[in-house]
Amino acid sequence: MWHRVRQAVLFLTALVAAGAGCTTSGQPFTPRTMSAGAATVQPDGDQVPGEWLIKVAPEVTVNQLTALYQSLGLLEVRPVAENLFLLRFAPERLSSEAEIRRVGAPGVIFVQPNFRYRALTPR
Amino acid sequence: MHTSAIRSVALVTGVVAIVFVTSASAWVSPSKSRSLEELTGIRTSVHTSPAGNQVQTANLDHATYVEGEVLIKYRPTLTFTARKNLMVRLGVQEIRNISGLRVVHVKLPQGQSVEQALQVFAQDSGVEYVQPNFIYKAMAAPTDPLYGQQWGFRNTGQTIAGADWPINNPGVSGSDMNIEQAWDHITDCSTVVVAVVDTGVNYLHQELAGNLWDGSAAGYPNHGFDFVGNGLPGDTDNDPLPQDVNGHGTHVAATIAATANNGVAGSGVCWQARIMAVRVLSSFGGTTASVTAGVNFAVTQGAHVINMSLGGGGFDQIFSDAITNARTNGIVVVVAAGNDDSDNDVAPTYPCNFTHDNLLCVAALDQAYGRAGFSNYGATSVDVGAPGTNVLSGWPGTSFEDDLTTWTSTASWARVNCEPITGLGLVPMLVNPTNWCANGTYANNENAVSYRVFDMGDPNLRAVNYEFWSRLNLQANDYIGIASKSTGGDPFSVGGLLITEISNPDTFWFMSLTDTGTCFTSNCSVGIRLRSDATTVARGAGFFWVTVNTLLANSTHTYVVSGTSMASPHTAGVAAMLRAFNPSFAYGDTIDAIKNGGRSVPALSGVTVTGRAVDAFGALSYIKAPTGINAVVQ
Repeated sequence: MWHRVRQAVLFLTALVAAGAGCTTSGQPFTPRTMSAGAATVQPDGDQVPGEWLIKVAPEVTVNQLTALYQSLGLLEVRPVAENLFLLRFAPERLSSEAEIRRVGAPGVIFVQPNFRYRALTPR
Repeated sequence: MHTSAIRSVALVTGVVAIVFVTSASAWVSPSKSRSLEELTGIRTSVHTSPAGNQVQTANLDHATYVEGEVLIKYRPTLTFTARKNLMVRLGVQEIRNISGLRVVHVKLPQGQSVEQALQVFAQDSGVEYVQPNFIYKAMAAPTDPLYGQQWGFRNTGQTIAGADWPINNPGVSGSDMNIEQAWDHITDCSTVVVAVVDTGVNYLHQELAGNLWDGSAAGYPNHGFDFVGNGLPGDTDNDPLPQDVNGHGTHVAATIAATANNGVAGSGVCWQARIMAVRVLSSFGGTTASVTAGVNFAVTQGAHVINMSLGGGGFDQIFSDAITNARTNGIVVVVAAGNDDSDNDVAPTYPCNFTHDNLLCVAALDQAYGRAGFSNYGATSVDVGAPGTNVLSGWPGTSFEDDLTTWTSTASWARVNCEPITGLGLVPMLVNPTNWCANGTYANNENAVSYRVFDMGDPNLRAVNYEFWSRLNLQANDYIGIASKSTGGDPFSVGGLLITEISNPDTFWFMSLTDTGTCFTSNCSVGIRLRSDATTVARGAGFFWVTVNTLLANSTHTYVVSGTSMASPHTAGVAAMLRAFNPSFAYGDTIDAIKNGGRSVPALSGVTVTGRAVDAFGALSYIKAPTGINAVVQ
């Protein structure tokens, strides 16, 4: 068990080094067909590529956010909590928080990556 | 001083006084406090300290009988008057006459020891026999069959079977949480809700089924919520199905609250704490969005303690805000330090490095109370240590790794030893083509299948999770697929179910698949297929192993795992115990008691805030020095 866990970590390390989650052509790596019970492969790393969380003033709406960030390749705006939204961009279109900040918007309190968390069993 | 604090005083081992120190350093009794015995049921005595102060003591484990008292059985011929004369003759004061037994419970004259009284009184003609007033207490150590493997609760220097951490197994007797002494005073934490923010919880496990948060009135009949989805039919993000197909969360939950004395597995820290299952991690982990949604759910639904055996990215403002919200609602948050053997003061990791005063970050200790070699530390960021290696606790069902040696394969698959990553060394793999290690390429028009039959006929089966670990390099229009068939044989043949099929990958590939019933037979075949077209080939596929986890109703399964993930719930369980024992405790009282009631451990000195390991009894016994009290010297 321990041996395998260590291997798994090397896998994950290699995944990051190899830019895992992408094909040779750089397209997002997702199963071609999915059926009930299947989960998609996701890459390792500290944050989810293309996903950002944005905290806004109460008066800011989903439509405003959609209009604001459409030019950056926005795919989805999903409410997460009160005044907090998950913005999902095509990763190849947007990889920098600075780009979101540069667009700016009245009522935006802060923007941050959608960080990854994992269970803490030893590596 | 509130009552709960008085209760804490009463538990201090040895000679501890219910006293306050005035500015004049005089010892006085609190004018309105209740007696120790009244509060705790623990027999106490009063004596004079070397300094001449009157001290009330609670004799817990260090005495087997009550000093200053004996029980005398008098002769049946003694009349009432003769019995009174006997008391005078012996110089004792009658406390109680147990007439049906002809036994008198007496208090000895000052200065006379029990041993002396036994010798002297036995000589009197009116005495049939005399004996000490023995102390009895609840025997709180659980009787569960695997309790002896839970070294964190009672470390006898035992060897832990199935250990995954080889260092200090066995460890050092006595290096444990001192919890049995705490169990003498409280085991029922049913008033406390502990949210396990993790991979879910197998709420059908026998160790947990009776100890779950009841969320039915709030619309959560399965004891919690799922914020990540698990690939089950119709189960995407945000549904009330927080089942655990990974195992991590169930292990954590059972460490906190596994039922004791039920003849199954082992025990939890506090036997009836109410577990709220908050699923925020899938097999791939979770994100700020899922984790903070889980924390906010726990807060909204009334948790008293939150355990998060997870870690990740950089400073996370939204996560920080969620913990602030927990603090506003009085919740203690216990988190794991991390498993990178690194200094969190230098390389912060979150949530451990948040500085909220309602948050405790926990390092892992091994069986000799050394810092576990993998455990993170931090003189300013990691608060305490707790048992975190080779921890036995509940598991959703069976779990094993299939190394693909028994799979039935067509000719282009082969079992070989390869080095897929430089430095990794040779590892066994199932590969296609057979010369995969030598950078060979697969054939055109390939239709190569490899599969194995699994027995998934257990009627208690509720889900099976298969995790495929591989290295893939395929061209466009060439595919690697996974399929199952409930009647055995080639799963890609008629009657099989193609679960997923992908093309064009060039990556290390980890696929997690969960079956909730399509292949629950004793003849379930699961397989892989490499399918190629007539043009252009590449390196092919190399599979390392398949991890198979089942989720069973009425599970009694356990697993031995190491990590700061395991240290955190030991601590969260003590937090629950404190809040159950002292319902008026605020989050600050609870954290103070855990930190200051801990046991000093050299391995934690200088690398944690307190230098202490969590001590359950020490935490129960800890009392903060009261301030602002006006005592009257009498």
